[in-house]
Amino acid sequence: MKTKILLLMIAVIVLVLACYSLFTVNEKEFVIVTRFGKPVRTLEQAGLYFKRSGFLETVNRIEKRAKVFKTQPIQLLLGDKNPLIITCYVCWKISDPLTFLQSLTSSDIVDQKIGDMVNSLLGSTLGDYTIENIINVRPELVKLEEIEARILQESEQKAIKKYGIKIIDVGIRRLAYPQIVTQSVYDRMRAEREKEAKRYLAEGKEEVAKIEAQTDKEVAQIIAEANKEAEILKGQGDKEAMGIYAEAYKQDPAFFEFTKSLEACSEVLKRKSTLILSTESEIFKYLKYTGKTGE
Amino acid sequence: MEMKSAILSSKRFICYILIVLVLLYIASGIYSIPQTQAGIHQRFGRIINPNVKPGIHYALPWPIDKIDKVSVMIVQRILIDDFSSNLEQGSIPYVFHKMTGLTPNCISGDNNIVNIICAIQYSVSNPVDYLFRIKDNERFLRDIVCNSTIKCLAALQVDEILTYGKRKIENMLKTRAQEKLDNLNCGLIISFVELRDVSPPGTVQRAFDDVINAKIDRRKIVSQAESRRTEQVLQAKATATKVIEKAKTYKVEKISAAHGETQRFGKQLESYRETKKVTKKRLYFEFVKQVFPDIEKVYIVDNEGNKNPAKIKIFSDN
Repeated sequence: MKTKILLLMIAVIVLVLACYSLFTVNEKEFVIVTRFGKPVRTLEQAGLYFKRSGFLETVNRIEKRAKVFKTQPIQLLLGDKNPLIITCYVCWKISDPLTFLQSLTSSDIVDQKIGDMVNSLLGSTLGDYTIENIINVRPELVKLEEIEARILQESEQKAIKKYGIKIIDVGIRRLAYPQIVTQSVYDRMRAEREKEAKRYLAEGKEEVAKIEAQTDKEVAQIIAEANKEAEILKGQGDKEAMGIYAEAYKQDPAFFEFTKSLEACSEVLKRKSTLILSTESEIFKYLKYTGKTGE
Repeated sequence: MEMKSAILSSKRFICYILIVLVLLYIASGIYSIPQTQAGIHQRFGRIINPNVKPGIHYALPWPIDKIDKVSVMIVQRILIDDFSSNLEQGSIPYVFHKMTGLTPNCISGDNNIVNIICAIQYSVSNPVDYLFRIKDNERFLRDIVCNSTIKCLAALQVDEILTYGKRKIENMLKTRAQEKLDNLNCGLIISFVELRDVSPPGTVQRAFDDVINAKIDRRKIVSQAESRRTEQVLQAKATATKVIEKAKTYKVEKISAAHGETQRFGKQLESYRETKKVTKKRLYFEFVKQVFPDIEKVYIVDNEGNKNPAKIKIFSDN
């Protein structure tokens, strides 16, 4: 009975000790074990670990995951004195937990410090570029990637030495013009649009004029073509008729002359005309008194 | 004796309870993963199965094993309104406006200002990366999309952005942002990018509308000219047909007249040949009879020098 109780007591003590000296490290964190404030071990792999129990050693858990923050908006001058307001995002993670722990910062303070650093780097870097390198309709001249890469490279070295953190990515998150510039951009946009609208109208009118000229030409052509054909037809008619006449009249030209002159006269002597005839006319041949007839 | 049996039975009872408790403890390791999720199985913090499929599974009970569940099949969406001019209280543009006094916008390659809102649909592609590589994945996604938007618009013309380039921008945003997400092991996949609203700022909106109207006007007057042209050409063709028809008629008339006349002439000639003098005379008098009645005045002049012609009315009905 006594041995049983003893065993039970030992078991309880072991369990309590185990509770105090066993700890897990998960995938989201680093652990630095300190003994009276002095770091003794850095644990980067997740798993189950031992430490000296109780107050002897402390477990410090440090975030392993990357985090991201936004820098404060900052107004800068480009190389060509164009002002620009820029905000960046910065993504970083702790790569050297011991340095990070010893620099006695928190991640919020690091955000602020890195933000300031990135902003000052932006100021010095953007001096090397003009507005043409920021915005340009030719994609190969836009140097935003290059600017980001330069800032990342320069900030990376400082950050790792000072805070034991690795900056993974820096990117521009917002580009804006100051109020005054914005206003002038609006004015220019408006002017450009007005010009474009006018251009469209002018183009339209020009096109209409072209179409109208074309139409006139086409109409004239159609009419001329028709007139030509009509004249040809008439000519054919005339020719054929003349052929017929010639064929007929050549049988007796003298008689033809006679009948034609009669026809012509009947055309000429219409109503209201005045006719002066000689008594010698054929028509009066039988009316005329002559001595010869003796009537 | 009774006492002993009581102790014995109470001991047994405690034993039973202990066994049940142990069994319950062991059974607490049974868990299930829903259809839309994936599980990450960790033992003492270390991942031993990064992708537990949906269904019922067993893990060692607390504090040995731990299961994290992540929704992988569910498509989530965020609205990137960082560049919109909608200054609703609490929105991102509002915060920016408060901070700088500016209305948020984006700058195009030809130095125009536009407002743009896009919607992103995404889902978790890698649960381990999603949970263990990066904090605030959604915030990071937003930053990356903003970054891609700025770079994308910085190389485009405003006309392209506002009109025909939307599909291109969507594709560019998707590929660029996804590239970054992959580089940084974010564990997210963008399935769809949609430009919700792309518009010029309110103050210049009218000028842009004017351009659109001018375009419409141009099309209108041109199409009116086109229809006038069709009409005129048709009219000309009708006129042409008329002219030609007239000419055809003329031709036919002329020829038939010739035929008629020559036939008449032929007949006359026939009779003329038979009795030359008589026919000629007859024709002449027929002519006189036919023509003279219509003549108003006929003067007859004597051949022998009479200067005043006598006016007579002859061959008149009255």
